[in-house]
Amino acid sequence: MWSYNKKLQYPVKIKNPNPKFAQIIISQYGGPDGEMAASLRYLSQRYSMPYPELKGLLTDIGTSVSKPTLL
Amino acid sequence: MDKCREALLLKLSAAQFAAWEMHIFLDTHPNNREALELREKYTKEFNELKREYETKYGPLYYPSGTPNQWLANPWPWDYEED
Repeated sequence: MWSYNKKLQYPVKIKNPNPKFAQIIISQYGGPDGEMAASLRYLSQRYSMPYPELKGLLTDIGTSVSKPTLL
Repeated sequence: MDKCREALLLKLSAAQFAAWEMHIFLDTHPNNREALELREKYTKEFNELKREYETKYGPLYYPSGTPNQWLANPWPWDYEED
């Protein structure tokens, strides 16, 4: 389904590198309290949720959070 | 990354992008002959540039290269500001 190519999709030139900021951003992807990981939990755990309001809640948060992250 | 390598990689990426753009255009215009010819042209260009790049600098695409060549640094994010 996916293929990995060992190159960037587009050239990248960062004028003002900010490693501290980069660290914050990337922790949201793969860090212990990452938003990406949380949304995957919401999306997976809603199937065993007995209450409809909470099925909706988990679905809405899971999908709204994933959209910008998957960019 | 040295200037020659960077320039070659840019040409390769451009050809790949152009071929892909023609490809997706053909989704909605499957009988457009010009688009088809351009797709073939850019694909051919891409394949030549890919061969040139991989010969000089190592594998970019599966299944090019040996495992050790694939694993060798640098990876795409391993570049210092010049």
